[in-house]
Amino acid sequence: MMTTTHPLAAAWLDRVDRLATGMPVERHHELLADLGDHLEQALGSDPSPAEIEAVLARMGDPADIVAAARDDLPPSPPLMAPTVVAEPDHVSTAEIVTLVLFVASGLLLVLWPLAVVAWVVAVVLLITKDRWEGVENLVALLLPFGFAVPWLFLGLGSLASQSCSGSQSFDEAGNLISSTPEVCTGGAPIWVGIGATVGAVALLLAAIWGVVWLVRRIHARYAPV
Amino acid sequence: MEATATDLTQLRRGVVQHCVLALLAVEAQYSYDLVTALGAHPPLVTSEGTIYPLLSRLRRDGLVTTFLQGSDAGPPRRYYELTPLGRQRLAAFRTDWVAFRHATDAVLGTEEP
Repeated sequence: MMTTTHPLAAAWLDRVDRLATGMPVERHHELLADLGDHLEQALGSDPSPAEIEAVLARMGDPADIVAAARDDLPPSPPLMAPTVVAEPDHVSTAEIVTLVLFVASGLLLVLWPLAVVAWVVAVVLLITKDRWEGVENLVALLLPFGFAVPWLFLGLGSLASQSCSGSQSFDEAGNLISSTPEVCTGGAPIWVGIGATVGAVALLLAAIWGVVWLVRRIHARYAPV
Repeated sequence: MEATATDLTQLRRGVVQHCVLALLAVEAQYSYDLVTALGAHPPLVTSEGTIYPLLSRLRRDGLVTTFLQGSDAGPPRRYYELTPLGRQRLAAFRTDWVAFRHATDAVLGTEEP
């Protein structure tokens, strides 16, 4: 870039320089170089003030030139770009973990401390991630009961089985010496055992159906259209 | 009544750049000569200075390219020349412009007798 020595032209270039502040450095320098070269060429070695003014008049207002240069720049991102949270397009790890923990918290009932921890973590994930609908949240919350309660029902069923004990003693001749009456423990009616088993199986099937239903809904949500 | 400055600005958009391409269609030109040649047609440009940003954009778009050539009068000069893409774009615009001009003249009633 040649630096013009004519005060009027130099002042004109300085104004372009100031107005172009903030433009990309390369474009800024290129613009000044082009305009400086043009002025040098147009003014020659010893122009009169009138000739300088005429040349600057043809060049135009620095503000218009810088505005034209800025128009050609790609649009700048807005200073306060709206925050757009993109909808997730795939099943997240958090969703998978949540589902697994709800199931595990039911299955691990016998190891209840682990079950409690799994359930708490699952609920926290469910609340914080907030990616499921109300009915999905409800089914997920019921899953532990579906997997845990059958254990209790099976225990109840075992109570229905009676165990009887009694004893008889005989002498060498085979005569009955003493006899202890048969005592039966457990004594719950047989229908309780059957009912508990049926209930346990039904709950377990419902829980499995709940898992399948949830997995299919979540999968369908992210499946490509 | 003359067209307003805004009207002319709108008219220039998309037209002036093709006039630059047309000036370069014959041979490469020194940037100063190119700008003063275009500036000789006042309706086409607002000022000579505003042509430089246009030249810069045409180069970035790949329609023109530049090279430096030594000069007896001073430092090397920047020359602009048309690229094959620029030549294609100019040919297409010339065809479109004729149809556009005829249609516009017909609607405005400004056809040459």
